[in-house]
Amino acid sequence: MLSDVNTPSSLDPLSKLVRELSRLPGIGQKTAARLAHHLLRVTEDDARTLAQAIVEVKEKLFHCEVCNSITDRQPCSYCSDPERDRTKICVVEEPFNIPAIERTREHQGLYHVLLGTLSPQRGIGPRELGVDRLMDRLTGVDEVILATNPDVEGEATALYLARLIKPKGIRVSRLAFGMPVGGDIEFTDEVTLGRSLAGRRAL
Amino acid sequence: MLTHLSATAFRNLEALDVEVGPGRHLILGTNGAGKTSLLEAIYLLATTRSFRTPRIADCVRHGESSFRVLCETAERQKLEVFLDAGQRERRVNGERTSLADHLAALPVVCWTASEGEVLTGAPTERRRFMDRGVLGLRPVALEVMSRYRHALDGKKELLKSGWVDPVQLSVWTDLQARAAAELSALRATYVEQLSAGLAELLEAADLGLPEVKLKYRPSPSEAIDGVEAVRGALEQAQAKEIELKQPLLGPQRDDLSIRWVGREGESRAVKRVASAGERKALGLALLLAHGQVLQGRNVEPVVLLDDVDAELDPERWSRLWTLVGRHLQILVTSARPAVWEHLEIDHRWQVESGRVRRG
Ligand SMILES: [Zn+2]
Repeated sequence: MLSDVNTPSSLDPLSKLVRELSRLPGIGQKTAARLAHHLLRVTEDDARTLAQAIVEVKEKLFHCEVCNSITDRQPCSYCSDPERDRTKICVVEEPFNIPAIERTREHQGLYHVLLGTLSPQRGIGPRELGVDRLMDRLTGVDEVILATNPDVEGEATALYLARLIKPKGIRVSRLAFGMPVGGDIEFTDEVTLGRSLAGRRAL
Repeated sequence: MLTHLSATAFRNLEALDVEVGPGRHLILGTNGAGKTSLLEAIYLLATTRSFRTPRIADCVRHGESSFRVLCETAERQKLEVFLDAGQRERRVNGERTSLADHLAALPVVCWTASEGEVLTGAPTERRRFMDRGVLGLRPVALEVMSRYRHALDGKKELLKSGWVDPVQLSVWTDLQARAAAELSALRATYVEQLSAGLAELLEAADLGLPEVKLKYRPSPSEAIDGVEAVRGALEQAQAKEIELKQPLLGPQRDDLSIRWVGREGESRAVKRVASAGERKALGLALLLAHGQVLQGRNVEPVVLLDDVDAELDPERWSRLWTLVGRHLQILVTSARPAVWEHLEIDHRWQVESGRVRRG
């Protein structure tokens, strides 16, 4: 039947793999094809290890119910660490932003992961970001560091949070990125990021 | 400056691979021979856009699936634009760079048939004209423009949704104001420089045209007074914006007024009073003034002039030609060899049914 030609079940295994890979962020058709052909050549053991790792991530990891970071226990290691400074919360967009900030060793406080940014274009408002949950965590906190990306949406999110948090008498600062505009926390080296944490500006 | 040009499966051009020297190039040929395609290829390499079509796939030669154009500049940069699986691809020295870096590699100034729209068309034509000028001077302004667009789109969506959270709206207004102030400052500076360049050029060319006054008309009108002023104006318009569910102010409403000044100092919109020939002369003068602004900033643009002598009386054209600048690389197409008999030309080309040859 003609209409079945493109359904996943009727694709040959290689096309299926290309299709799945190309759905990953930042991977176009061409890169997907290259990766698929690479995977074709690896040993069966290596292929199983990769597949297993993907499944394991889904089975054993979840979001921390306090801060939204990725964890294998509830609450996560940051939230349950008694050594961390509970008066400071650093707000980031995605869980993968945390390791970059950790490596700088400039922030010893807690985290809050928004899992996105405000974006009227994509219908994401304060409710979708769970801003209320962040607000509920502010008792006993004396500084919130807004480390969203320096693009338009990250900036909008930071400004928005600052307007909600400041009236509570809590210090709000913005990471002063010494990086190219449109840059991403993920790609910023530790030195730059460390310097910006140290030199964060009050909002 | 361009030193080498090659094209494969581009429009009706036969496979092309030529050295391009400095100086003034006249490209002769009948209509439809492929003269414009030649300039289009250079423009595409310089800007990654076509001046003929927003659909890049239109540039593929009939019966082929993709095209490739390539050039080298005097600074030994290799630019490349091609179609791959229907997608536009661009390279500088084999690498996909930022668009700003690509634009900086080969600055161009280009006259095409649609250029007259700047004088007679809608304000959007003049905003495009100003932004092209701004980008010619400062390719990094691309970031400001896209930031403004982004902030405006965010605000548009918020307003459209009907019920508006005042905190969110003020955040997007704030972002809009900051980018607007930067964009307005860039446009204002450019118009100021262009205006001075134009006055100089008109005086030197002696085209028999009245004095021309260029004035940047920003929205809000306070836009060039800085962020605070813009924010204030935007906030004042907010109630109305909420009521009408759309942004009412901002650089998306800017215009450039182009007026003739009469003997008694009275001024009139050029588009209402000028003849077709006068408009063409003034349009060209504007373009050449833009070229001079670039030169003033040590940017040496390649000048592309497509079918520039049409509708222009030969006397005016020969005066303008002497001003185009003998130091620049110029490629000009024409279907009228007679017009060029007494004008200074360094290189001649013939285009016939897509074949490009010297002579
Ligand atoms: Zn946690």
